[in-house]
Amino acid sequence: MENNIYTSKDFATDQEVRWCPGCGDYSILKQVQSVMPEINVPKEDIVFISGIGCSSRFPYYMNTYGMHSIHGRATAIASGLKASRPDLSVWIITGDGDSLSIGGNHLIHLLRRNFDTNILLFNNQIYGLTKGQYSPTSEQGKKTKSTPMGSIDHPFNPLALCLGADSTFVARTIDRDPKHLREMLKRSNDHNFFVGNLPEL
Amino acid sequence: MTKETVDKVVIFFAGDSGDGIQLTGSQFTNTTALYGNDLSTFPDFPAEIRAPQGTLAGVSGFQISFGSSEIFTPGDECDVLVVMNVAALKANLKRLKKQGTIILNLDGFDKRNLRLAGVEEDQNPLTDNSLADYRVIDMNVTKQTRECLSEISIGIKEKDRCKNMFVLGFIYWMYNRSLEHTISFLNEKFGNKIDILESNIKVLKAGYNFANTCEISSSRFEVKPAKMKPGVYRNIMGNQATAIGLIAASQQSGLDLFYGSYPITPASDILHELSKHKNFGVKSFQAEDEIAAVSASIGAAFGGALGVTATSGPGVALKGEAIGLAFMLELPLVIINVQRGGPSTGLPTKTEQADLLQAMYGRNGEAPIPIIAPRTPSDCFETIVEACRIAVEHMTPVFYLSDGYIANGAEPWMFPNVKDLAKINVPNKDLGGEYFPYKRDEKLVREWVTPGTKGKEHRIGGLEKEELTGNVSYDSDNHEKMIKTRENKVNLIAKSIPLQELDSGKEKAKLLVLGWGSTYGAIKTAMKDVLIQGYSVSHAHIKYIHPFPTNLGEVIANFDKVLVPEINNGQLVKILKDKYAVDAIPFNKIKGIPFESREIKNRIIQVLDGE
Repeated sequence: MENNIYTSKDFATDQEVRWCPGCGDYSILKQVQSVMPEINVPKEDIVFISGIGCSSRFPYYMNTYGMHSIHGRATAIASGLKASRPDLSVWIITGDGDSLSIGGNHLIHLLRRNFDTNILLFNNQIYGLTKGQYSPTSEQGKKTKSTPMGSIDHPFNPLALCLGADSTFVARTIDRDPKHLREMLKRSNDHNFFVGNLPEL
Repeated sequence: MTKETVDKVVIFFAGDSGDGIQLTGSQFTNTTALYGNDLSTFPDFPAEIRAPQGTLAGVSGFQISFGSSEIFTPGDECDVLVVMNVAALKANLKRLKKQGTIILNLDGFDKRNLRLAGVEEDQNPLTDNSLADYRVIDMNVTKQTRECLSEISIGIKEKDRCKNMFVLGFIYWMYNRSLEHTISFLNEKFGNKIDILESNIKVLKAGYNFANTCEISSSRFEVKPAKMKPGVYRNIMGNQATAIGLIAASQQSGLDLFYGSYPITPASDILHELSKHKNFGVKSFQAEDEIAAVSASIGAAFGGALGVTATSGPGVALKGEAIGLAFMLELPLVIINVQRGGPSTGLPTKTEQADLLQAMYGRNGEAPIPIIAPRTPSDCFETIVEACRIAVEHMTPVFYLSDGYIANGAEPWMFPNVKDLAKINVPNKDLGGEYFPYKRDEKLVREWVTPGTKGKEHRIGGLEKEELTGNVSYDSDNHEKMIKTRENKVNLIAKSIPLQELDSGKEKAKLLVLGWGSTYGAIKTAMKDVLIQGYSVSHAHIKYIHPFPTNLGEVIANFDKVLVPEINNGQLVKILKDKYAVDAIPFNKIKGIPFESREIKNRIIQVLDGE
């Protein structure tokens, strides 16, 4: 197909974007929408699958095919979709609670199977949607609603976890560096896996 | 030598779980099917792969009933009990009818075996006269097997593994069966292991010849082929029929089959069978867990495949949330539950019908899901095709409730003709006007638009959605309306299923026996007897449990009493009471084993004569 028949506006939907003011997710959405015209895939062949959490609202804002599924299972649902429809460009939107806690098992097995999908892991080191409990990437000692005296759990590093599961492409980027973020999205699309490690401050 | 002709025989093979009893049973079954008898089987094995040798817990059994007339169950009492050791005899003697035949391996009754089975030496059944009521044929199976293989240079363990062939050969002679099928099976199985192949064939023939020459087996039996409808038959187990039916449904709908599953007893054989059939475009996916298995199937369904997941009760519990998602998304999904004894891990290798209420109600929120249940091993084929039809044509998850009894049981099955199979219509026709993901047709079914379709890009999700557009909506009136719409959609399925028919008996009578699923064979067999005896009783068997056939209430109203036999603590009976306010009589057995037909018969007589 011809290059750049789309603009980023073609990927916006009529749904009102509902994240908290100042949230880094706005920036990620904008960069993803701006990268999509450059990957040269018809938008009907693109699917965004998310789990549950703030970031998982993402598919509603992308004018492609999409599914806002259940907590932790976006990776498993995307595995079945990609296995049955290898022709599709599949993007998984997940967070640190979604894919490192409740959906940890599916994440490592998706990597092991090396499905050609893109995973955007929005790591804000907190459970935002349920209003502030510590997550598997929260630093030790973090005071949250569920850890008023500081969390006692040791966080793990998503990149190390993914490498341990033999992921073949891993990257970390940040919402406040749009240029780098865009570059990583493109390289992820060219390869088969991507972790966006995006601390939200 | 006499050759006695009999109409029907029930044999029970029993031995250690390492004795190859299941293989012996299935070989005898296949040979018998090829001979042309009607038959029904019931394997009964321990949950442990290798339970302690020689103990009661380690006994594995296989029951087959075969005959010259129609057979609907593996039989109540056995005519012949084949036992490889003391434990096998102790655990199963109760199954044998008085004056029945015991074929036993003397080598399994030594001091060691007595100790392992917990039998005092002075209570050795061979010498304490406790078998006086039976006809005992004893032989040194282990010794004779070893002697027969003295020239072959394989280890003693390998030699002992052939001893089931000795017994099989012996039984083949007794029932006048050919060794041919088993020899070709052995060739296929051990083709490149010449020593093992030769040993097995040698021992098989030795058992056959031993029976022919020894004087202990004074009679030989003839069980003539059954008069069955002409056609091409094969022997089939319920799980195989389910797998083949899924492939048929895939062909009839033109959809690729995606089968996501996690290993679990007794459902795994469906995965094994399907993974052999990639030539039909089948994708079998062994997932990392039960949740991933159902989720992947939902993902595949979103992509336009026929998504199927299978498990047993504990797995359904894990899949619950995702099944709710499929219901909410209104995507087709078939959930196979091969039920086993519960709760929790329960009795993994035993049968039960105790997951009906789980299928009916086991989700958060208002999420009614259609339920359909096969009644015999071969009926699994037709029923799973029907489950797929309902799922696809009505865009909904569907529960298919099989159980361990029919999943592992076998019977002859006449190949269906492709042209007799109904086409499954995929709801992908444009409904006209502007596209909305939740626009519905007259059956309240939405259009199944899959990724790759230009101009109809849309997003779906587990949040409550606005009618028509499918956009997220927290509006309270809309929520109630959507709950009712989804419920009505499922209820409308009743219009596309057959009316409830009686299986036997008159339209009006004193008693209706109302069953579902695998109790069919036992009820049907019991009905033959009680109808001959003149009792005023009829039998209906429900395949469509949710929604019920539209006339079920009228059918029930024609009877004074309704008896509901179930292998659970009373589940269908609760649904019937709820729906029709009928004071049905529950009849329950919760022992991990199927009903015997005489139990049903006695209960029917008790209900009717007790008036």
